[in-house]
Amino acid sequence: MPVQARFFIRTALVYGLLAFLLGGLLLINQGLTLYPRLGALLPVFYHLLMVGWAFQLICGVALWMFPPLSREQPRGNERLGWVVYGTLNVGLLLRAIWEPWLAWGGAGWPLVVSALLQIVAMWVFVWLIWPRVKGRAKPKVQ
Amino acid sequence: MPRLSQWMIRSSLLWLLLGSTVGGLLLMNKAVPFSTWSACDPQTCTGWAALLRWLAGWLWAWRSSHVHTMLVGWMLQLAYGVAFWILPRLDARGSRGNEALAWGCYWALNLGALLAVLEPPLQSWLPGWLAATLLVLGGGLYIVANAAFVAHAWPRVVAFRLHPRPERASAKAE
Repeated sequence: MPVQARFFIRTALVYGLLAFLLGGLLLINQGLTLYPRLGALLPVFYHLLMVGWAFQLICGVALWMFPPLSREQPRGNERLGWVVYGTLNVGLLLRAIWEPWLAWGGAGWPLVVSALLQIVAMWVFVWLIWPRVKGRAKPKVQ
Repeated sequence: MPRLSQWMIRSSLLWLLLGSTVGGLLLMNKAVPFSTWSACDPQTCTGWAALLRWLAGWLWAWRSSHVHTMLVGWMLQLAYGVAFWILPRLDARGSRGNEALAWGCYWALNLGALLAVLEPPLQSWLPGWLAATLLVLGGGLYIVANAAFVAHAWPRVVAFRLHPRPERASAKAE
């Protein structure tokens, strides 16, 4: 498995753990009504799960297993893969911190940065993986 | 990768572009509402300020569209596209079974998702019966799409097995 795929998949697993930890706490809190303000973390739970875990796992597996782009660059431009990794994770962490902060009365502007970073990550991922969605190359006729 | 998987995966990537953009705009609007980007009196607002104010309200209607886009258009369709590609073949010739069912799933899923995504933002302009019809059709198409894919994939979920090569199979038959 290439280094980049390992980074994506291991980070996805960490987000999976965090998401279910948070989801479990939210359920416990809902049942026992320990601290009502924790409810502001619900959208963070959804996005840790669907962006941090699911999307990131898909990125790692797709970059690893989709048909190679070419013999010289089997996984396309790997630097773009790192751009996806960086923007996605910085954007998601900003969201995880500032979305509840906003609900508790804090500033909202870091979430604008977070939104832009996550949009960039997903568009660059599509740009990177699109040419690798292809059938088997036909053998050249001599 | 077979043609249907290419169609499903590329379509799912297009849904991802739409879903991520809508999600990003929703988050920005939640953080710093577009209506506050330009100070003006709501009664007399015109031009860009009026457009931003209207957009801030209308964007909220896209919230459930964002969920349909990301869960059905992007993730479910990607999973089906990859499953059609990698699930075990049925015989030595590489048959994937009833491909018409999988194509049926593709069209029903995308049309269903399109209706489910468009209904909430268009709801305020549509007569009630038409909005309800879009939802009923979208829901029905979701059911058809998933039933078709289950029917297609069920026989392909099998234990590992070795198929004889087609030439040998035909030689034995002779």
